[in-house]
Amino acid sequence: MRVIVVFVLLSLSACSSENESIKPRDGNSQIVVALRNDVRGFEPGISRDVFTDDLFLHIYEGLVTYDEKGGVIPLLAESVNISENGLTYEFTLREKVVFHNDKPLNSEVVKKHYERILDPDGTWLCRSWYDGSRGLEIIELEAPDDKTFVMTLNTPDASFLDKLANVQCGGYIVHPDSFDQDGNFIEPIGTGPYALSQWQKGEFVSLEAFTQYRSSGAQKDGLGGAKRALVDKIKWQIIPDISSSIAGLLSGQIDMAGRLDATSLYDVINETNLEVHKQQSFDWNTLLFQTKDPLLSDLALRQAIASALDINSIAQSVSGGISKQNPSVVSTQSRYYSDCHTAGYTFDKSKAKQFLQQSRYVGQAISLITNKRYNHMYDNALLIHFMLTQAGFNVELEVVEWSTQVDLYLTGNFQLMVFGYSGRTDPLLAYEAILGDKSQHPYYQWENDKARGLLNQSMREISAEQRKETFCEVHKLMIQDIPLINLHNQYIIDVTTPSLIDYAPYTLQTPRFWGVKKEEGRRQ
Amino acid sequence: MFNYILKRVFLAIPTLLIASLIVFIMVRILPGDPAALMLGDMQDARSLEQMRAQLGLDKPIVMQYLIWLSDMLSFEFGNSIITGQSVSELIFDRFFVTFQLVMVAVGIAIIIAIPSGLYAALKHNTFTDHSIMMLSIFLLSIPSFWIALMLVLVFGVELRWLPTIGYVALSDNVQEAIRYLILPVVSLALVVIGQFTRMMRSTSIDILNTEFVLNARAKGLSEIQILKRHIFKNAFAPTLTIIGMVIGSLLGGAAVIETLFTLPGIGRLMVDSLYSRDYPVIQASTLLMGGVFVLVNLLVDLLYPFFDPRVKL
Amino acid sequence: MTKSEVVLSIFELSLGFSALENTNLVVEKAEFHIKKGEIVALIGESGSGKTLLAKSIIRLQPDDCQLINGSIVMNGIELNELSLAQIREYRGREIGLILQEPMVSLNPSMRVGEQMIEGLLLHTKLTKSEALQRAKTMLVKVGIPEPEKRLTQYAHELSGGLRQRIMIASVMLLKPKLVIADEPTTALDASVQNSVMQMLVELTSEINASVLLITHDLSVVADYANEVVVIEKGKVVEKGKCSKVFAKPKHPYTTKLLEALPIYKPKPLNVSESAPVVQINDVSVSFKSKAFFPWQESKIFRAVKSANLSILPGNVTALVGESGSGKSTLGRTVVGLCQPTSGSVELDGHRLYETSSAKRNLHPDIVQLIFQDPYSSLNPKMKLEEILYEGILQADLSYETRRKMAGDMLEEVDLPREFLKRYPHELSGGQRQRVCIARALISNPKLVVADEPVSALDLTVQSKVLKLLNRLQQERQFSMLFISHDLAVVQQLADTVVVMEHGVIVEKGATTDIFENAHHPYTRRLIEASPYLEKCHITQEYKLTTRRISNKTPKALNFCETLEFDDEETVFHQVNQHHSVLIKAIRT
Repeated sequence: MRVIVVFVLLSLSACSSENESIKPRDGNSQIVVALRNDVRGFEPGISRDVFTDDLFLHIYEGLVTYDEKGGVIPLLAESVNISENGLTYEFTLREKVVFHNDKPLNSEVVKKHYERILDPDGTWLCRSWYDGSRGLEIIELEAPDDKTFVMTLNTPDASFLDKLANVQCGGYIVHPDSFDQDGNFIEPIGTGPYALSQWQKGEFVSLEAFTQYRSSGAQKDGLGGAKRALVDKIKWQIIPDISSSIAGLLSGQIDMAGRLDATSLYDVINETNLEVHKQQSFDWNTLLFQTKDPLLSDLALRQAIASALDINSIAQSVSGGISKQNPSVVSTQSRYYSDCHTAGYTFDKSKAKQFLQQSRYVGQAISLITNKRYNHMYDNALLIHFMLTQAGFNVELEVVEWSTQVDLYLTGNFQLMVFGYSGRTDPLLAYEAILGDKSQHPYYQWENDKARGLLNQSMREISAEQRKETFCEVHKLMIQDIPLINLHNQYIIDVTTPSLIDYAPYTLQTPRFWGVKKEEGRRQ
Repeated sequence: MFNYILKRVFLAIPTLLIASLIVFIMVRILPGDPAALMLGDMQDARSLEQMRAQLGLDKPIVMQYLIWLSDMLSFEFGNSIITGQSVSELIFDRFFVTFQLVMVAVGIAIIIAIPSGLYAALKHNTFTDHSIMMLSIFLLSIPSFWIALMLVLVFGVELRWLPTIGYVALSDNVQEAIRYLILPVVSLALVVIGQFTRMMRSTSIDILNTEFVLNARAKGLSEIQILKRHIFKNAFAPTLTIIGMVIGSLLGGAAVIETLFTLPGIGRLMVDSLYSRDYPVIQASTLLMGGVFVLVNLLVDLLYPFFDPRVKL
Repeated sequence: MTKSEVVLSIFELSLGFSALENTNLVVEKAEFHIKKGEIVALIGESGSGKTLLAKSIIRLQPDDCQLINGSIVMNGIELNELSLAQIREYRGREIGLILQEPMVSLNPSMRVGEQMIEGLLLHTKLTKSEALQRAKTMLVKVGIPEPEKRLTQYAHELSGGLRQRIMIASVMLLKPKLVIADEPTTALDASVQNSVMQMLVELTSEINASVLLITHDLSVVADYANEVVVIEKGKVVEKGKCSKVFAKPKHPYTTKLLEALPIYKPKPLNVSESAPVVQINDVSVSFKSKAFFPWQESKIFRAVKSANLSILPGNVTALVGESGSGKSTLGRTVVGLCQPTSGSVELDGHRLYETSSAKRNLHPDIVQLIFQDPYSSLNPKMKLEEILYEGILQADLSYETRRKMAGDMLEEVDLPREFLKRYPHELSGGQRQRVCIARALISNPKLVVADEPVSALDLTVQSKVLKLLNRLQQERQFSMLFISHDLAVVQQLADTVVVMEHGVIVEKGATTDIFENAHHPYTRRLIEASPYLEKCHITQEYKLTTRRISNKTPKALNFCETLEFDDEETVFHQVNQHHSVLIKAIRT
């Protein structure tokens, strides 16, 4: 049996460096971070939101994770060997990794973990990815020795490792001691650089440095690599209101506020006392069409709309200049992003008029759904509404509550909708979010058998170059069909006080506080 | 007295029952599905179904209500469907924070508003009266969140005297707790002061024109003595009703202040749970607020005869 | 000290509202003197400025009413020159003030005892317990039962008469040299007015205090005052010894006041054999407060107990009693507004209350109601013509006819036709009551129920409205049930008088029989409290008389004084064919 070694940890030297907890930690250094709402609990993959995910990433780690560009790298695994048929994944676990309860990481623990989350009676969010209901199934888990863990699949899936690394699913290795005999979650025990110290519900969550943490690399790399805990405590203070957060930054009561929207950018950009970090993320903003709608099923009308939008201006103004137009579901930050993904729609008023004449559209009212919970969606909708009205469409802007919008999205009950997808690091997963049979699941946006076939093929391709090409093909098809118009990737605005040293935003949005120091008195 | 209390509690039961039914139906009529919200755009049909079943949302709505009602009768408030925390625990902690905030704010407002209302009434139609009225109308008409923001900017950001973010329980550290409470309490109290002053002034003016005040003057009492002995008690009785209503509504309606000052109060909890369609929390907290409202008003009514002996329970 | 020593002098006193011109003085150059131990009565209609004048002595007039001119001198000291603090020293200690309304002049949220001793604590060096002891002694002295208990009670727990006694007692505690009594008995029931006045006079004469008595009640003046000062529109028009002024009034205004008093001219009983307009048999009305819990007993208040009453066509029946005697309830029962608990009401052949439909009990073509308060019984948003059109019951009349009918009706009540376009607020109280009468009569009812139609009006206006009612009744020959607390008002109007006490009819008979041969002690008390005026035709002098009825009551009659009975049967003694009196109640 030939085995392809896909990942090998290069920097073994860094791994062996014994003392992770380098200076300066004086016992009471603390970073205070604004948290928009309370965490939903500490059991990964059960109840989550983006803020809960942020904390999970400091407490837990998975076998693999993402690098700086969203590619998959090993984390608790030292290496992964994939069999040639793409069905067997053999993980070699890293040495000397311990959990927060001082118990060592071994294959038995990992096996138990996967058995638990794949249990058909369990409530893990992403079980449907692995139980065959969507094709892929993990048919066997093995722990042949202490350091080796093997998973066997029913079908090859090129995105399998990416799925394992997925942040939302929370497939981190949780120590069995986190649960009582009845399987109820009691406390979070992970292998991350920080451990839960205190959760004051509704007020704050406090994490403390895990002194026995061992990095998997010498350099900070995405969610892996060097992850040194340089402060004793991180306190996530719950501050629902953004202006309160900014006031807190200005008064020095907090050190960092993440995920600000572009509107708040203008509040902080001129504050010399604050540092603003900008980045583009994998999340993408889009204008959805209900192609089943009698009106919008008309391709010419969709073409007219696409030509009537100056998407580049929209991207610039909505993101405060951070993001640029991206017609693809593949993020500009992704390793799979290439020139072919820049192909999209161009703003052309006369073409829009032409298409409009070809279409059956005679001025019927078209509704455009958006919400005010997410400012960027609202801003996108405003500009789209304006541009379409200018181009002679009769568009009615309908602002609904976010929960309502999710409902409309799920039932497909809309004409136009400004929406945002959270980023998928693997383009395959991104396409899967939109491509599917609408009659079965109305939340799918795009029906195209050829694209489906290409994606199925990409599932079996391991080579990155091959996959890259397939995704380009799919993108071309999508641009032809216009099932939706992708606008731009979501921007990230993180604001810190100058006392926070070495902070850098991450394209997967999550703020990372390992490797970050706090120096008091650096404030002007 | 006992019969009266019994009667009031008895009468509150159908009120609360109807309120609970309305809330129960309303939150379910609202578009938006907690299961879908939890899954976000990660969902597929299967996990959605699974999630709905797990949350008990797959049962018919009548069944859901009956289950909830029977739980309620045995004081089982269930768990939050978002965080899985026990609802009763969640609500109790949050309620205490708001209770503390509102009671201190109203207490301060009473201490300031009652004398100033009385004084304005005494100086009826003079410059002093007009100034007090102008000020209280000003306080009444500006929204509390604006006051709060101004206080944050001045005392938090510019002067850095007081913290604007967070909450410290009184049981943990009294001095810190007070420091953290000052700004939210002041922003709540300012608006309430306006309300109380106006009420106190107008009732006092009515009382000042009564015959028994004339009688008191005819006895040779000075105006201050008359205020203390004759006007305060009589004018306070109607104000008490307003105070009760304000306390009742603030206990559930301080969400804006709680959000701005990041206090873990019940109002914020209600707003948050409404957004996330956390049905058990919305239902239980609405019921609690209804109960509290009934209770506060009952207390006011029980106190009333002390200020106005004509009222018999 | 001689008796002629002047305690208080008022010289050329003028009061005015600051906003008004000097010409609109509310009190103009008033001048009078009060001698030690004397009672000086200040009389005049409401709005004449008498109360303002009295209050201004201790500077208690409203803030915007200012002293323009003149001086107030008490025992040689000019009160106007004193500071507010010095005036406060006079208030209560030197000059006491008794207000009109005992229901509102005591603080409702303060115990009676505390209010009584307030003045003592302020002006003397007594301790609280000493002061309370004095208050108690005073209450004993004025004959208030259970004085200890009274001190700890609140005002609302006491009757009006008791409150006024307490008011007087608390003023007298400080032994002031002058007592200003502003209509001290007006708000009280007729039967207690006398005793309260008596008490005031006794207490003041005991400490030789002077009294400035403000009143519109001439009988009180005649009985008690030494001097009388008549004030019209702020001007003192006549003053002098009471007996002289009353016997030979010099100023026309004084004469007008005197002539407004009821003149006793009993009508012969109009006995007609025709069927009565209304026949009330054994009617009882109870109000039930429903119990909330099943184990609680519901409280029943019996407002009217087995009343029998009939009114003949063209006959005026007066229903007299104190407040709370059930007279208004009985009146409402007649109109069809109040369902009796038992008994029957027959109105012009219709049996009322036979159906459950509230509307079917009303017969606006037969019976109309005139209310007490002309201010609240007219819709302020409606013009008089609209108000009157409402009263016209025939539906098919043209606008012109309606307009003519309304105009005629207005003229009949002595109001100009042009008033049709006016709103009620443009009219005076007397004019409004005329409109009320017009509204009631426009449908030509057989029976009019008038519930205290004049008691909210000034004395001089009262007599005019009464005369109008009398004239209209003579012309139109409708029957009338005239409800009143004041016997004096009804004596010139009524054919028969029915007296009610505690929901029971205690005596009824022809007006002459009742006034000259009243049997029941309650009726007698009422009669004695109502004075009337006699004018000697030879000397042209007036004589104010209060009736004293000689004790002709048969000894065999044992009157049931306390009427706190429930299920008892009433027994009447028949004095003559129309005159009967309740003698006792037998428990069934």
